[in-house]
Amino acid sequence: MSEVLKHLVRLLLLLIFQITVFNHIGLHGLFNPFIYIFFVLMLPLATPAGLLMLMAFLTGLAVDIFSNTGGMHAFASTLVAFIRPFWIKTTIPRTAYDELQNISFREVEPGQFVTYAALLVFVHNLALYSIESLDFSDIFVILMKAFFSSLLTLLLVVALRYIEIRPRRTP
Amino acid sequence: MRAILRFFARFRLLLFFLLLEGIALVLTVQNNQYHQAVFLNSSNAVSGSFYSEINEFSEYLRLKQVNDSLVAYVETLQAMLPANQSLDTSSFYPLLTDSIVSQRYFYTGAKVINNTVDFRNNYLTLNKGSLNGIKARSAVISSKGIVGIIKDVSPRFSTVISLLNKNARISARLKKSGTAGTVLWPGGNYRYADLIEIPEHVEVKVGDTILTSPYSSIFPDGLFIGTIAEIELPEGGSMYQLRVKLGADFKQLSYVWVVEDRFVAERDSLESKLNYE
Repeated sequence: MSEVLKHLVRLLLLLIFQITVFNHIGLHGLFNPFIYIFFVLMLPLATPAGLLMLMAFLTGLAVDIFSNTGGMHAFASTLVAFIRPFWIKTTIPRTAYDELQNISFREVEPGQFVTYAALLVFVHNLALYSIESLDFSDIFVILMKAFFSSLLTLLLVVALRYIEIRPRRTP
Repeated sequence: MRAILRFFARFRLLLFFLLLEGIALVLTVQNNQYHQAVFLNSSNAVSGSFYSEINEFSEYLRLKQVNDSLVAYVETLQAMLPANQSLDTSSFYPLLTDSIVSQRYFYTGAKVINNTVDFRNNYLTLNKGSLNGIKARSAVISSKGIVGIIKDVSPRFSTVISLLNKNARISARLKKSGTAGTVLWPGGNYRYADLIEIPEHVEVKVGDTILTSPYSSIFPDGLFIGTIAEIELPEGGSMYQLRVKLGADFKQLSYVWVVEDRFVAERDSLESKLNYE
């Protein structure tokens, strides 16, 4: 139960920061950190795929409602949730994965986590900017935006992960 | 059936995924349509002002026709000036006598600022009102034919019962024989009206001119109304059913004259003493 509460609090904080702060950064239109995806990345490894997609969808929808973007974020988040299980199997070794069935990401190696997060963050951003422009003639601009925003988002994701983990490790 | 269920069971995740993405896409596109609508609304404001500019421009282009018709009208008026008549033709222009106080009809030019032709009862609005001396029940004419009758007057504007109105019954006469009838508009085409009450013994031809009759207490005598376009004699009837091509093109009206009859009160009070039974 406390685990569920922790995820809920994380979701709420991420949404608040996303809507009030990160939505308005937009450095040169290139660096737009969509940090709320951290919630989808950090959901327990054993989360059923259907539930995962539904939660990602609702999270994205919440961001959409507050940023007046229709269903863009819902679309990108659901896509991330859809490919997450396959990507976990690829990036996190099978043995570790089997052991980790019922535990959180806390035990995943930092390198593995970065690889895991990097692709999903990039997919998220790519989907977002693609559906935003709905015009692949400016694919270069889409790729540029997706790349730089992913970089910034990934930086924040990794930072957040260590902020979250530290208190548990120190005692 | 089983196969379908098994299919759904097997691909339920994929189907769920597609469903969610479908919803997200619909939301996105709807949001775009919303933006599109906002965009269209603002462009309507742009196109609206654009159209009004176009209107102004086309009115400008029409100035030539308006000028031509005005010049033609001035020519006919000039021909009527007493100075242009030989001395003994005062009967040709009986309305203007030697004194300005006895002038019967006063003309005031006005611009049509609103006009319809599509309803059963059409009205016009003129840009002159009581401050310009316009009075209710005055006649409204254009250089091409009669237009209507002033209905209401405000200080700066006046409304006109168009000839294209159920309530407009104009006393008219055939120019050739002088036979009087009534012009009224049956609705439909705004270029045509009906002339009724012309008895069958009168000789009528297509193209004959219809003028206002002296019986009218509103219109001066002899103003052009139109020409006969169709002649019909109903089976067993004793009156013609005449179709009149109106002189005035009601869709192109821009300048008109309001004709005030200074003697109308005198005529009315005299006629009111008659006791029709």
